Amino acid sequence: MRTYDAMNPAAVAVQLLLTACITVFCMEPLLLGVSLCCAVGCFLMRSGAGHKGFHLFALGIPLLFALLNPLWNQHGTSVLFFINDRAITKEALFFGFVTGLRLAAVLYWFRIFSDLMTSEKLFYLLRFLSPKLALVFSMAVRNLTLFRQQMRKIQAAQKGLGLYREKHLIDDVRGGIRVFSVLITWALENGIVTAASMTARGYGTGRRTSCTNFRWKRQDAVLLLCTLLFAGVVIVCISRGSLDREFYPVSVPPEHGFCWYTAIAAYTLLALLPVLHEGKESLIWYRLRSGI
Amino acid sequence: MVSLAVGHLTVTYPECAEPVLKDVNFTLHEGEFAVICGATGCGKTTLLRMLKRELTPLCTQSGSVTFCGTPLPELGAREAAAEIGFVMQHPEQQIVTDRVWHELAFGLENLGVPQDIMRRRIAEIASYFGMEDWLEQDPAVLSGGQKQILNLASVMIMQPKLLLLDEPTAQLDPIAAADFFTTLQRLNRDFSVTILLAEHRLEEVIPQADRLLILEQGTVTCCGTPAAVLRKLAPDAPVMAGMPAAVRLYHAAKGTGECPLSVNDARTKLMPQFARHITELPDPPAPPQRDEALRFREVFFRYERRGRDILAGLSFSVSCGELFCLVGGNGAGKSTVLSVIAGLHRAYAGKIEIFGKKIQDYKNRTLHQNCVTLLPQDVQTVFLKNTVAEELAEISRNYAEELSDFPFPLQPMLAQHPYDLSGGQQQIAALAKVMLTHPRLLLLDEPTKGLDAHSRRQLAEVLHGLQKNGVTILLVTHDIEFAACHADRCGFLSAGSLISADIPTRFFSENAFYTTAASRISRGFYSRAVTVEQTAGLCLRNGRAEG
Repeated sequence: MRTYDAMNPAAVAVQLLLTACITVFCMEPLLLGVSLCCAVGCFLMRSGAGHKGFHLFALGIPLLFALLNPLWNQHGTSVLFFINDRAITKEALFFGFVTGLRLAAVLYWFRIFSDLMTSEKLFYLLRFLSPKLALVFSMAVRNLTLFRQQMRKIQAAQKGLGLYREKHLIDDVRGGIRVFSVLITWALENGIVTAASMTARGYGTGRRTSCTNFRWKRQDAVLLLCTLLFAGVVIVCISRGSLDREFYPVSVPPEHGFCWYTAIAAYTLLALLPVLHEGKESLIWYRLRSGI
Repeated sequence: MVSLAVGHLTVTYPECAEPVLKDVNFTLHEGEFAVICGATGCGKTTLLRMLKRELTPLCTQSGSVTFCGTPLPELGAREAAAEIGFVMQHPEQQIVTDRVWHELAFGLENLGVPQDIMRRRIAEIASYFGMEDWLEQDPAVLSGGQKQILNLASVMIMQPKLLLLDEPTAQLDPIAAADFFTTLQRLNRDFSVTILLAEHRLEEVIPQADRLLILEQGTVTCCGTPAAVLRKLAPDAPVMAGMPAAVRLYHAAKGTGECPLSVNDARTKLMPQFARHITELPDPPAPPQRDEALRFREVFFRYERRGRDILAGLSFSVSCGELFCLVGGNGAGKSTVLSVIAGLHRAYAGKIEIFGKKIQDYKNRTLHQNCVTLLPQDVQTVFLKNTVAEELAEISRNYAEELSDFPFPLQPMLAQHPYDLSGGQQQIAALAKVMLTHPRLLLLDEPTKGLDAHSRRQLAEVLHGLQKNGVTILLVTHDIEFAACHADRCGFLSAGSLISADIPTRFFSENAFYTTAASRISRGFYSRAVTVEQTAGLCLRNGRAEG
């Protein structure tokens, strides 16, 4: 079974980013509601139960914004009541709620993105842009780990020699500077060996190719096509103004015409793509396995 | 078929009057396993680098190097990179990328090999080297031995015909080194890769080599099969000290016939040549009763609350002025013992006394002040300055005076950068720096790692000198030959507790597996002969067997 995690990172990244971007640039409450529900669904599907703190925080945002916005925002015509001579309006309350909804949805999408896109997958994407940059990035990550290790080793060594006074700030700072300066020397020495090892293995002998762990399969193409199609529809509708909404002075919903329904349907499909994919896969595999 | 031919190769570095390599001649046939040995600084590394075009240092050279019939400079860039593989000493620093599979792919990427072929080659090589389980890992989490196998694999993936290795096992423990040699031998046998290996860890390698080259001051003095070369080798040649115990015994006891290379050879061919009237050397005189410098009583330690015990009921003691060697396998807790004594970690149960005072009672810095000092395994981490002199001056301005009784002339290395010193000199310079804090108990972690026989002997002399000055030394090591030759007492650490402790002659003669090569050779013929000198002494005293 090929889970959503195992799909080609490029297709997955496009799907997640487009879904999140549309959420950012739209203020239609229904679309945002759909976005949040799908995001929560995807998150639960991937990460399972748990993460209570995150859910509480994210889902609390719409309520919090709904309560806070009217305190600052005096726009709107339907006054509910007064606090300290300030009008609390229905429109401001609603606007706060929708903004919170949007933030919560985006938060979920990016959480899913960061869980799904491991460093390995980000390198893969970077390689599309520039293979050389990807190699430099990979080496930099490795060197950071090495530096940290060596730094800890040097500090332990110096402590074992008893060269530091305990709990003495100036000593600590001076020691830190010395350790840092010798770390640079060590890094340069290190770099010479690494460079030798690179040229010995043919670095710089001509055009390079780039090896990746990810393949581009038919399913990835289908996913990308679906993503582009659905997102395209939504974007066209948004640009035609079918989802525009006025909040002040009176909340006016857009006309619920053909465009509005199409946009909501397309967006729902777009945001549900991960869930649909997993559902389809598990169905197929359930059928295959039941034949064993 | 001739794989490599070196003809009249002379190499001079710029601004040096003397050439590093003088008129070097040899040829290697396809599938040969050749070993170069020689003391540190004899030109081994330079020779190997002259054979790998990409790594050739800046120098003036004359003579020729031909690889498979083509002169080296005329090889295509990609051909030269792929067909001549090179593995260096430091496992960590040769690794380029942050994933094992990517490291394997690196060479192929450089050659512009297409994706599909790369994938296949990675899968192949991973299965041959048994590294499928760690393909997805970051090389930083691998052990030293695994890293070096990775380096070998990422060179082998380019399918070289000639493999050059520059002291590949110097930084590994004996078990990882033996694994590495086994892998090399398999490569040589299965794919007829020509191998040229520079090494000073010769015990396991020489019996397997087809050819042995001895390099002395830039010239190849002997070249031939190991048995032939070693038979002719002068007993006092500088390289002799690093030879297998069987070879040293053959020369020291003036054996006749073919020179034995392995323990098996020595037991079957050499030992029966001698009579067995006297089978035991007298015990050395028992040392006078002295105060205890260090005492562990039922000490328990673990790194994490829910982890396992690294030290589990460890009890032992070290007398003042003693040189105590703690030996044991990987993960037995040897280094942990030292870090606990040095106060870097705290035992959660048990009692540790240092010079009769509980370790908890050494407040603030008093434990390190003129008392305990730990020299870590990686001595480079001790140095923080640009010259050895600055390094010493950092601790004490009049270091020259304070180090007047240091048993090694430091003058020649004072102006040098610590990183430019050889491994043995670094170890001694670090010792000198440490001695300026006037420790009474010196803790050493694997001080002989990466040192050749000569440097090890030098280090031993320095340690004995410090002992005479009244320093107690606790040394943790994998190097059982060193422990047998130089320790006053040895302790065997296993799974966090001390199994046995005794003087080396008794300690190693009672062990059957974890013991020196000389002890394995002399077992059954003589008892309590654990070093080559002791065995040879007994052989000479007994004289040759009759008939």
